[in-house]
Amino acid sequence: MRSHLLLVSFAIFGTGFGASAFAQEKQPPKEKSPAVYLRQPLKEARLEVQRVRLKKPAEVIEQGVKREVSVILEFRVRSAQAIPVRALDPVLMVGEVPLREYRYEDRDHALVFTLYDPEKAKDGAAVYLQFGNDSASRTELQSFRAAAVKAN
Amino acid sequence: MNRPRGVFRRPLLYAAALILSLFAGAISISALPPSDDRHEGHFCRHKPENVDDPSQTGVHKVATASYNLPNTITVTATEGGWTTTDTNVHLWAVVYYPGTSSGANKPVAPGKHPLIVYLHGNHGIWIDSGGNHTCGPPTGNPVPNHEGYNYILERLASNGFIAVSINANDLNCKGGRIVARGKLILQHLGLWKDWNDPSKPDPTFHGRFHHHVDMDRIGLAGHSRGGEGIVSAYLENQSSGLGFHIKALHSISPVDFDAFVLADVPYYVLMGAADGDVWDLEGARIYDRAAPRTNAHKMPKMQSYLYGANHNWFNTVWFQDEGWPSFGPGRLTDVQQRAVERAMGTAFFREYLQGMGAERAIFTGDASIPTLAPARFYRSYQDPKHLTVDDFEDPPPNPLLNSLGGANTNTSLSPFGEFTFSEFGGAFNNTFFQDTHGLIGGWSAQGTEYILDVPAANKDIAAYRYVAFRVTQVFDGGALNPMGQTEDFDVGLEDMNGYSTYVKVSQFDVIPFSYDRPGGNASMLQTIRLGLPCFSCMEHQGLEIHAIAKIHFRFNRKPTGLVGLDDVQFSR
Repeated sequence: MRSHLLLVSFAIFGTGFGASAFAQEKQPPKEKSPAVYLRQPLKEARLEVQRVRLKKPAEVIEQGVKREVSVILEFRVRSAQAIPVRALDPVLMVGEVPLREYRYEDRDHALVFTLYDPEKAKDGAAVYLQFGNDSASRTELQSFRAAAVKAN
Repeated sequence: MNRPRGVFRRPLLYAAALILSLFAGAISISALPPSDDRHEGHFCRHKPENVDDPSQTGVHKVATASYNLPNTITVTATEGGWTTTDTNVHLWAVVYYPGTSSGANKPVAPGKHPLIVYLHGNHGIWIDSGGNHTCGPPTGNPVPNHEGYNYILERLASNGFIAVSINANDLNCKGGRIVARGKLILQHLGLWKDWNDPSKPDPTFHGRFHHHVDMDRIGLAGHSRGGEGIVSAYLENQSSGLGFHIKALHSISPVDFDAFVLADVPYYVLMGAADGDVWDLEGARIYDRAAPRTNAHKMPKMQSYLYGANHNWFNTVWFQDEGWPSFGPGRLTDVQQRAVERAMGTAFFREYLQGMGAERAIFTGDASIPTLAPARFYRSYQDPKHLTVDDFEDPPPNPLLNSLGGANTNTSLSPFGEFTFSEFGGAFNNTFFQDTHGLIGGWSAQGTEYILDVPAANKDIAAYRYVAFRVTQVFDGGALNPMGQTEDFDVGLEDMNGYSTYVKVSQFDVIPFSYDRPGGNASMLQTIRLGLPCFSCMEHQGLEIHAIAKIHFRFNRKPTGLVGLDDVQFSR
């Protein structure tokens, strides 16, 4: 039979009554869980941009409109650290253009963002990476330079 | 006549209760509700009846199973204007259920059992040679993200639920995928519908669950992106007419990418104040938007804001501590924070899927779970049966006019005004992370009052049991709210004869100082519920509860203060 909640003033004595809720964890707690601080810029981050001609056109559906794309820009952010996989999404801002479609590479030491409309990247645009609206995580990167775009 | 004092005839009992309540912290003493309005005498409280302690194991033997179907699915979803397609998505899950005996793959205990589906959030999907969880390259050793909730699944199964946690690795390490997560949940519900139906082929469980799954009572729970994914699943089930009977939703530290609005389903969100990932406590926004005015009476909603809890440790597989501040004062251990989810999650689903009827008291603050000490959590709760006096949402902002059309009076609050309680602009300062509007009021002289007139058409409040409101200390760096101290003030009711009575908030609850997050303290609203018997019982029997004219907030307990106020209601 389960114990009932202890009411009124008895309730406040915490562990004094019934089995402690903490004693019920069957999986032993980790000896010391490693700590990681997410709300900071990436270490030694740098940006590479590559123009990619797709072997097979990609189908893009934006605002319900379907189109095919054969040339894209890939913005690859590399870091000396593993880039965290967070609840909040990483967003790469290229000027005023937010890039939200991404993939991780290189054991999470690189994040690759896709821009399906290469013409939207303006020469000289400021570029930074940020997780959601967590401005403490903002990593400033070098500006976009059209002349530095590599071709595949 | 104005008699601003306590209502207790036995000073020693009163003093004892007050002292003990101070020790109780946020999960304080049991107090008010049930159905018969029984008066708890000197304490102005009502006893909840027979609330089983949800932190204890239930009566059922727990059996386990798992499935990972050979056929994968394609999930196409549109979110934020973009349509994504994910192929080769696995239908993989672990199951805990009431068994005829304990162990793997045992027969199901007799009867039909409500179904609860849990869903994890975004995290690495491959375990590399160093034990790290990464997005790739594939190692052949997947991260069992879905197994991180076994601790609560087991508890739920012992309480008579079929509890499932599904894997969404195929949607991880990618942008968004909230709607996709919702679709994945619905796919699993389809499986369970079939596994309950003897007319459907069942190569997976060979009929083990036939007639044992109560598809009329389904609950969804999710953590992080999963916590919003369940909201998406619920809404898509409605909009697409899929017909699943989803009766309760529970989010743990969810994100809020898509600003969904829940309007007609019990919703419970649990958030850690030390969350170092979803640092802006986005679950509070889902709570605030839920039960909008047009549907305010169709659903209860509840929120627990757990001091010292991080983001990751609600999942045993997510072992890293991203808490903010890391191992700072007041941090809970992983075991402590999971104990809260185990108890509160169980209580929520017992109330809204099994119809226990008494667990609600845990969310209103009328009952406590003593075994969870020293965990401190601060609640928000809105009952579907309520009358809103002022929610501060009426345009244009006017703190001197309430939602019932009555006048509000400010004697000398300064600063004073309506603000958005949001991080996206318009807030009083940068400590607000919610999605609501409210009143900001500060004082530096005792006796300052804010008075809300109740129009004559609404004067009879006998159908209600509480004066309820949401309040927070506004974090102001110690300017008006002294660092580390609780806040306190009086709330009074005045009837149409001019008779008024006041109660001191700290007799019943705590208005805490903001949880310490260096550089990012949050001003988080919580609900205070003051039982009407406290205003009308004992010496205060002169108060005419059928003819209430005003609600008083009198800031006379601390020399200075700055509070946010919202959702002033009469409530059941």
